[in-house]
Amino acid sequence: MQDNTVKNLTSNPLLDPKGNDAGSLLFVLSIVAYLATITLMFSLSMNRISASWNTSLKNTATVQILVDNPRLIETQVDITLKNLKENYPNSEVTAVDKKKSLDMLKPWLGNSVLPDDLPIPALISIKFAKEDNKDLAYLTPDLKAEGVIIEIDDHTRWSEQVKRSATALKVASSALLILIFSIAILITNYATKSALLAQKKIINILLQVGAKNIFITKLFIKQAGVRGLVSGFYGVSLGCVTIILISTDRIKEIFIIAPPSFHWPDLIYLLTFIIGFSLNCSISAGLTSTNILSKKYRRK
Amino acid sequence: MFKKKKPKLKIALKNEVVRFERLGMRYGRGPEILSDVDMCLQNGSFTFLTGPSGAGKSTLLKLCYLELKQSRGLISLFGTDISKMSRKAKHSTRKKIGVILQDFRLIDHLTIFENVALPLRVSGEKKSNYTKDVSELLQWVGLGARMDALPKTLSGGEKQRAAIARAVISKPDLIIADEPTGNVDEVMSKRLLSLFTEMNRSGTTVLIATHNKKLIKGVKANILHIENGILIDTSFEPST
Repeated sequence: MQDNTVKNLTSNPLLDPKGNDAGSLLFVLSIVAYLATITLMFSLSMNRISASWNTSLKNTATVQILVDNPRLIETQVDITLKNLKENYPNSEVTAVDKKKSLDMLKPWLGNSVLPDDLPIPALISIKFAKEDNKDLAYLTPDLKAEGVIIEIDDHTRWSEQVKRSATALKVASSALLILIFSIAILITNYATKSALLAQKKIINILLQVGAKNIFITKLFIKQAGVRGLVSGFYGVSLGCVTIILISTDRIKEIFIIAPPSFHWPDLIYLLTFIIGFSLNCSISAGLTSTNILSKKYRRK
Repeated sequence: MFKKKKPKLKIALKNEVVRFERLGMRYGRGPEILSDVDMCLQNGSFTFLTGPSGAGKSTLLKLCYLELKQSRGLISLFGTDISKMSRKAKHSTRKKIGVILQDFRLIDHLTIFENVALPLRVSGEKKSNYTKDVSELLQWVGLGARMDALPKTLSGGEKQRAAIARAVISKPDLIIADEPTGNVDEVMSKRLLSLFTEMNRSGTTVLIATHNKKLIKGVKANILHIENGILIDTSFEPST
């Protein structure tokens, strides 16, 4: 008889998907997810930067030739280069030219014209190959015997400082991430509480027709999970767009250190984050609704 | 002598769907709405509860379907004292009761079909199993053409019929109705009443609170009258 009508009947969710200011809640959760994404990307970038700095500093060293007589400088550079190339055949050993050395002094001496007779230390940079031994301890006495006084900077001091700074940044971004997640939990709790109050009529009807507390709780878990998933997706997408925008060359120049940038492996973290965000919303909704239902709507 | 009587009482309690004994009910610290109410509904009985507005009819019904907790006295449902019932048992008891209220209590964002099917849906029935039953019942109450309509598009009478259909769809053991014909015309009133009597004939206990004297006249039923919170049930026998 009414088969066609019956076929067209929809199975609407029992909790009103548009009720309880769903739009505002989705917006707030998306903002939280966005902030968490930025923090997560920042944290990942800090890890990358720290690792890259450490690797590059660990594999390089600079030899500074201390020269009393500028006329001897070329000879002393040649002696040092020869020695280094013999001992580190696979590594990249290059003499830093005078212009580059002067450029390195600019941050300390400014842009003013320097006198010609200013003794500029000769620098030799070494980029160690994997195959070569990185020990430079022999070099100072060896060259001293040949009349060349040098100072070696193996960047250990810098490396430790960089490591410490990177660790501090990682801790700060992790703390921020935890804070943002805590805010997300609190917001979800609050939203679930107000949803329970706003949907009190529906809950009473469901209880009246025989629904168990666990049945109602599952409805809230599902609703919060879907909201978490959707807002997580919005927040992460917006976060990725922001990261891509700030990593463009023009904006990059503004930053003192390299700004967070997007790398494809980050996608795994971001997808995990979306799932985690949704789970967080679900668990939080589940706990809140169980608590409220067992206390407030307990049948006397 | 006493020992011989005890089994009879047990059998009697088993046959009782609802028993109130020296029941008192007040909201907060206010005056008692119901005072020393003694009442029992036998299994398969058809009872009308009458009385003026504010007499305590709705409160009494709410106590029957576990919406409220009594201030004092005993309530026994299906032979079990509700104060001794676990949460699980209360849940099972609620499932045995179909309730029709004056404010219909339909869920606004669900269609009439979904509202009527709600008791079956929450008990985990598959849609394919109940679609036919729900459709037939909706046809029967004259809402066959409004199955996919939302409650806000329905008239008061139509909402009332949907609420009645929802209360009876899961074939409850006890039907409690608060003014079930208050918003429908006389023809529909008779039709709905025949639904209740038909269910009663098949063993369902029916308790209807009403003002409608015409409705009472048409049916062979017990009549309980309540006034100023005092109810007299002449058929009541105390359990102790």
